[in-house]
Amino acid sequence: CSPQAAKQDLPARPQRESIQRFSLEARIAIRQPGSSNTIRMNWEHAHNTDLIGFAGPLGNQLAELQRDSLGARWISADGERQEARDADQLLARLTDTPLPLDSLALWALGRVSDRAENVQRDPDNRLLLATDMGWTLRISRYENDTPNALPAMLEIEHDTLRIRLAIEAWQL
Amino acid sequence: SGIEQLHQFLDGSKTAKASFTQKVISKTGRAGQNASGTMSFLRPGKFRWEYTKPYSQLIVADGSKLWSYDKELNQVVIKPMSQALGATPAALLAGSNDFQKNFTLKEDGASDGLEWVEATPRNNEAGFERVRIGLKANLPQVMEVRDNFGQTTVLLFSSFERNPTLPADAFIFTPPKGADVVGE
Repeated sequence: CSPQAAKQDLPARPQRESIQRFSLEARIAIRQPGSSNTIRMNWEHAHNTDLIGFAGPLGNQLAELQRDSLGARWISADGERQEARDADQLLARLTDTPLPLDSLALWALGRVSDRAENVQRDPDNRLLLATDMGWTLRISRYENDTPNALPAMLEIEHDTLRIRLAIEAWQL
Repeated sequence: SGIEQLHQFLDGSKTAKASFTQKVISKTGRAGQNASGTMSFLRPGKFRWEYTKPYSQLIVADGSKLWSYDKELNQVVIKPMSQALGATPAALLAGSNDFQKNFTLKEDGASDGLEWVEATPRNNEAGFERVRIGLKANLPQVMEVRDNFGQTTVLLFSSFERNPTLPADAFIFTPPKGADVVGE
């Protein structure tokens, strides 16, 4: 059976452009020279606030990233704290390259910015491939086959960094 | 008492096998998805932790390295055991049994047929605040690990077998063909 909730009992989704807040649970495979990793991500996103928990494969939380109008904070399990003006710099603790959090929130929903290029869509107008903000974005699976379905497997690439996201659960 | 049962378990089980379900409750009280699977261990330091639902992920500690393989993400990550284990129920179960050295133990009463022990790490690099273990018949039935972020991981064990014979390659991991193998 499919890895996430059985396909039929997923709620009907709204238009993806209308989604302002979501929370998702995902596993992330980060592949980059030197510090590749597979971690769990628990992401609560709203208009300009984000709370992301990063955990090891056994569920032990490794770090937490908080973002709000005052800026961004990274707290590690051993209590170390780091502040920054925006979250992208802090994500570089994980991915060596700053990760555009706002773009990731867009891509995770299966959207791209209006500056995206070579955008490819499937017959239901759902995003399959695009280049956006210097990143290559590929969505290889959706949670089911409805036009408003949310992505289930996403891959983004930038130079030597490749991130694969298996999204297990969405809550809107 | 709970502590007696814990010692019986730690001293009396060189290997063990069980099924588990795991639920993570976030700081904001939101319960994450349930995950379930099977686990086995050979003390000290070797364990096999396999999630089968809702995703398939295998974590094997072979005594020196920790291998974690995510089938859907098709990636194998290899890490030195010291760094990766940290505050995980697996490490507590499969660790060397000088539990006393690393934790202060406190009786935490009895409820729903279990006797509870609260273990607090002696040093604060353990990466978690405390773990509560509910035991019956000298076997852990429930483990609640509360980490430094206010998140609680709850593990419910079932069909817990003490000293089963385990397959010889239970704690050896060979990456499948075609998977990305990364890490030290």
